[in-house]
Amino acid sequence: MVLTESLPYEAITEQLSKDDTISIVSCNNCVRVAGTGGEVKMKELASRLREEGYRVEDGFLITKACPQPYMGAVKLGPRVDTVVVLACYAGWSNAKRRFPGLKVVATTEDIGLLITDTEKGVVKVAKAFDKYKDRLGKEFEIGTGKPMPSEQIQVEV
Amino acid sequence: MIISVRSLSYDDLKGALSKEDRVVLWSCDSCIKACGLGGAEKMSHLRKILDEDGYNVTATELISVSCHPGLIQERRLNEDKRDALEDATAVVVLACEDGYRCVKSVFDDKTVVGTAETVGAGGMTKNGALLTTPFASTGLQNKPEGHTLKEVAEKLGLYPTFFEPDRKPQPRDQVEITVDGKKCTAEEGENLLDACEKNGFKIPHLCYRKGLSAPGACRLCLVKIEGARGLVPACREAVSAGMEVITDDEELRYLRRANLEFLLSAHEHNCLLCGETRIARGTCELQTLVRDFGIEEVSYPVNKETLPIDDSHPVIVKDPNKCVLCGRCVRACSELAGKHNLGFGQRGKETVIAAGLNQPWDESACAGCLACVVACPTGALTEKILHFEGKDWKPKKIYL
Repeated sequence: MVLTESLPYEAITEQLSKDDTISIVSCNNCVRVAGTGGEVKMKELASRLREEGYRVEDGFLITKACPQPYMGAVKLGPRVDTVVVLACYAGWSNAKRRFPGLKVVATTEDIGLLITDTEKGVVKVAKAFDKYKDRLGKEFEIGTGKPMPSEQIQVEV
Repeated sequence: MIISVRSLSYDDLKGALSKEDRVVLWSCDSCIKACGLGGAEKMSHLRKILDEDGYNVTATELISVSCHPGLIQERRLNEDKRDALEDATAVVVLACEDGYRCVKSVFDDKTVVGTAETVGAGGMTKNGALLTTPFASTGLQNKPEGHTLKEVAEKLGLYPTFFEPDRKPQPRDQVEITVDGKKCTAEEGENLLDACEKNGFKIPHLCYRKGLSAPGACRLCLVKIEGARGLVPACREAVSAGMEVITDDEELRYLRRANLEFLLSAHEHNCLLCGETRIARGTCELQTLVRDFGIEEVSYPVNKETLPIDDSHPVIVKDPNKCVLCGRCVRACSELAGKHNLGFGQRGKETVIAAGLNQPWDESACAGCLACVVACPTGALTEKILHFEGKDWKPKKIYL
């Protein structure tokens, strides 16, 4: 699994115009676990964008955003010209390849790769991307991304 | 998806083992399989070549995900697996580096050999896995089009394929059997249903899935074996020399059709109209069988009671109205995930697949690995893929 961090809301809207017709696509796997995507986060983002006058047409929740067949389930309406993707860079890349003529907007940044313990509701960063080396070995709560106060997963990284 | 490339040559792997070792091959069934470096088939290939080279492979373990230490611990303690795993002296891990670390933490009393270097995250296309988000150590840049694994392996001096891809292990213990009057060869002790299918004989089945144990529950794979008392489920029978099998005749077709209609009468399956996209993709095995048998209506009274759909889980939707109680999900949860979270609840015609203590799925101990969904031969367990639209953001389910 890939741990991600949400970009600030303003960093997302900077990439959008109120003339855009938007479809939101969310992965329901790693980003849900990291608290940066999934059904709830997608609905929150859609509501906020709509309240601020952006034209959000619809949304798709797919099991995983990185394998091509899941992205194939996303059938955009003819008016949609912008796809906002709640997924890691690999999911965003898949959307970018699937919708070559459209604006494809990222909403997260990748932190590292994870070890998971669903019983304890915790993830641990087992390999971190260079910019986030300080997160290596850190643990976070599943679904919220809140840091854990003490080590829960006894695996050396 | 985590992207890994093989880091060890076959000679290095052999060098890490001794011929006195009792070796367990351990493979994740997730990302590493998509990278071409793991899964049941790769593990079977590796077992055969190590056997040929004189190594003692005592067990193979396929697990739905390896980056979950709790699942590995449960597998090690599983009463059916415990003895073989305790007896092992070495574990060869076909998983990413995260999976390797988790296996090593659980089997810290054994030699644990990793076989892959994890190079970053990426995706899966019809041409294979792609690395889009490499670690800086690879010297590659983020790229939406992705780097192929061949390109990555070449750049890093690693191996782009699985161990010894061109080596064809010698088939072992080949015996002759007769299927529907035709002489065929198969491996002694091989599952009869698999052996028949390999020889081009299609036998209908629902409860059997390669890689899981065979309960012989659906009775659709019944065959006639010379000398056997009564009809035999092919999925439960092992091949032996000289076996004479009949897989298809009027009586078997009649019985299979009757069994299929009994299964269909348990709920209103409505296969002819259910999910148009499924028909196109042929992913519902029940529906495919109904079409193959040309069943347009069921001869028995159909139970029209509708059971509630459980969509409490963030990823899985359970529709008990489409369930045929084949038990594949129960065995996948137990044998692949090692969770034992699923079982049969209630009794008789009230029997259902129950998560945890027959509670809402999300309140059970489900790890969300989707092994059950992949194993389900009908639309009873599906992934939650949704399309939201309109002012009220109302969801509509999409079937893959």
